[in-house]
Amino acid sequence: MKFTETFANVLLILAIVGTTAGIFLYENALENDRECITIHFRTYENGNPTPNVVHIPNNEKSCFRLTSDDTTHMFNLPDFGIYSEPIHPGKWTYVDFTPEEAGEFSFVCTVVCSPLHSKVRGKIIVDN
Amino acid sequence: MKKLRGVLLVLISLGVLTICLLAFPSAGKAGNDGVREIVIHARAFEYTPRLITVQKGETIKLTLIADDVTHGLVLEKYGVKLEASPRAEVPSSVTFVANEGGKFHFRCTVVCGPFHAFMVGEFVVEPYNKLSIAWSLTLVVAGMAIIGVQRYGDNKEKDPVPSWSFELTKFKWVRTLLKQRWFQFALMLPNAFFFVVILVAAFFGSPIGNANFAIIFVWIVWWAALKFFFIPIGGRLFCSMCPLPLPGDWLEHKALVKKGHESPVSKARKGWPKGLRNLWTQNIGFLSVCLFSGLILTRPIATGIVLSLFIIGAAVTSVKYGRRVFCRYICPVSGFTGMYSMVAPVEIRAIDPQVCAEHTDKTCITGSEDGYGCPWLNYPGGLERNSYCGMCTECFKTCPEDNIALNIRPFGRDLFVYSGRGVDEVYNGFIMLACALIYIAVFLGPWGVLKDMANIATVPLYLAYAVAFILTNLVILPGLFYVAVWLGKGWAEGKMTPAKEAFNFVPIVWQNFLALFKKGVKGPKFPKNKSNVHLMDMGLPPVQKLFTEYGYTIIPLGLAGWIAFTVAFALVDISYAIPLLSDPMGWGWDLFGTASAEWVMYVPHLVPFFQIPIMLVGMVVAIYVVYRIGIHHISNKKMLLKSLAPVFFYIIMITGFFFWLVL
Ligand code: SF4
Ligand code: SF4
Ligand SMILES: [Cu+2]
Ligand SMILES: [Cu+2]
Repeated sequence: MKFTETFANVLLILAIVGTTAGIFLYENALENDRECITIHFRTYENGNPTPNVVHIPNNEKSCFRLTSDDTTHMFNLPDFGIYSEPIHPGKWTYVDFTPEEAGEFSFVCTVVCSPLHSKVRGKIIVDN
Repeated sequence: MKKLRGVLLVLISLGVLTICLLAFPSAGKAGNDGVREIVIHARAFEYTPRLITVQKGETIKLTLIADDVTHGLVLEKYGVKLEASPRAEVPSSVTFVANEGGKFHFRCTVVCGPFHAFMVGEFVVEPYNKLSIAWSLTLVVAGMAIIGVQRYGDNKEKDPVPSWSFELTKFKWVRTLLKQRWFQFALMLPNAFFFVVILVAAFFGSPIGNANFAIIFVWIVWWAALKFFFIPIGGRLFCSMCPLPLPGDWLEHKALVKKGHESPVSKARKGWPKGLRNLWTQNIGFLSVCLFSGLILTRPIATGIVLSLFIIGAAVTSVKYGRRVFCRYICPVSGFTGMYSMVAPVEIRAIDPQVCAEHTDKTCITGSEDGYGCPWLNYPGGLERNSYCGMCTECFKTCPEDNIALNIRPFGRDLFVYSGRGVDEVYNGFIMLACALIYIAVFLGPWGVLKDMANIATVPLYLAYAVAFILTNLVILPGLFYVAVWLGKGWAEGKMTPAKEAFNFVPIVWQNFLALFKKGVKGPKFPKNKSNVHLMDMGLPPVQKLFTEYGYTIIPLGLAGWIAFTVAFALVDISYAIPLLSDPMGWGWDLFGTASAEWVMYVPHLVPFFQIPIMLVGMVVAIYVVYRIGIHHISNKKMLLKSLAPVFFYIIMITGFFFWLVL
């Protein structure tokens, strides 16, 4: 009985703590391997794209991994003429490009996503 | 009697005739030549027009215009798939020939907000007549059922529910298995694992409902499993493996598998207020959860909060009162599981009452070295109904005489057990029925305004919804049933019970209700029923009593309604579960390679062919149940039928209303 009880305790702790820790550790490991920068698009009312300011290196290929937390959006970096495919909630859209100029650039959304759609924007800072 | 049968036969033949006429329709009106252009505007969460009617053979050009955010439209039958963004330069349109009659639902394909999965419109290609066929079928089947129950329902030899039961614990290994202390833990453990995934997903995963394990696995997968399998086949089987009370159990027992500490049963018996030893807490709890279902079903975080509240509630009450006071008296899921579990074909019962009578220690109540006293506060030796037995298997362990059995038995037998009944249980049945009907309208219907209400788009809209919701649940559906019972009694006795007498509880309820808001003031208590003997001039039992008895007919009807409702959304939405197995958090994982599986509907066009028979079976069982309950109280067949006639009518109307909603 004593053995069974200990065994049950171990199993339960594994199920609770092990599962929780496993989920976050796995995501952490994946994130370290990811080459793309993740941006969650949100409407202006929901807090705008997050993170809102992203640093990338100059003259190097950068990749963005985009998703939406509410409705469909689209990523547009006018200064570089970059457009993404529509960013659907719960799905992932990728864009990549190589900046050839340092500085601060705004990215905007090009799909009407709420009455305040025109305020959806974020910043990409190309470091030297 | 002859007259009644004649009337029923005429009704049945009329119904059959209608079905024949409808089933072989003359060719529909020829569609006009040329192309018919239809423009559909989409907004979250409604299409305008929400109902499109065309003639068979017409060529249709559908154009989708999005008014607020990006939407899609899929009309599977005709292979139509559109997607439109607001202010799009090139409108999204498609042309096709509507060459097959019927009613088809078109749905949104692009997540456009919380209620996205419930955004539907209806496309009817005439001739379409499923609804009229279903209605005629309802009449035919009801008529035959009424004739049938008269013939078989009260005849001991022909009665379809004889009292057989087959003891599963006869097999030694079954009993040995149930007596293992680790048995229940082994059932709970995998559920605990899933539950942890659910909670982590709810609080940290994607906020998009259909990309989050918590929403899809709780409200689609678990809910469907509960309605299709656990409840109708296993009764409270899920209660035996539910992981929610696990922390509370541990706090009380300080042990998982071995027999640990146990609070005396008196602690719970004395602690939990007497006035709440019924289903009312659960009824109110279920109603409150339902009032916020628009949020809970669509936002992972809301699901997480509700489930956490369950765990905390179970833990707190375990410490305060001991045992499963939470499961027995509070858990909102437990209430209806208990009522519907009476239908299930399994039961846990004592084998020989004589053995129990002679066993004065009653270790199944007090507990012993081998196990806990019934955590659900039952006397296992005296169980007569499934309603409050959580199938925890403790009594198999504590009974020194091996006098407890797990039986297979006919479906629904507990509905004919007359002890232990009460208005609280009947009300639970009505609440479940009302919620099923309301949910069908809100979640499966095309009405955007209902979705806005449930989604709390604006406060006034929500308040209107809440009031309508509560009235339907607590007043309208049970009230109409009460009126039906009252009319039936009046007809049977040849004189109506005066309304003043029949409805004398209304002012009392009202004053009790008002008293809730005035501190210190106690509303008048219900007068105790003086006696059940009411045999003066061969009268029927009082209306209130009849209401509580006949009310159990709502249980099979409501269960059928829930199963039929679940069929519709399970077939449409279950495929969301496939990518979530690989990516439960919606973070972009791919554990098993299924993450990119697309959403598909499984046989959506067959949904009505499941729903119609399920609902008709529910109706027939309801008719049978109320008849059987009736003959228990009224032996005069003529009076019985008169008293039941309005109740039959009620059952038929509910079935018809259900068909109107879904077809
Ligand atoms: S312990 Fe067994 S024999 Fe004794 S009262 Fe309970 S069920 Fe009956
Ligand atoms: S009657 Fe037996 S199986 Fe049912 S809850 Fe009580 S102890 Fe558990
Ligand atoms: Cu946008
Ligand atoms: Cu939509």
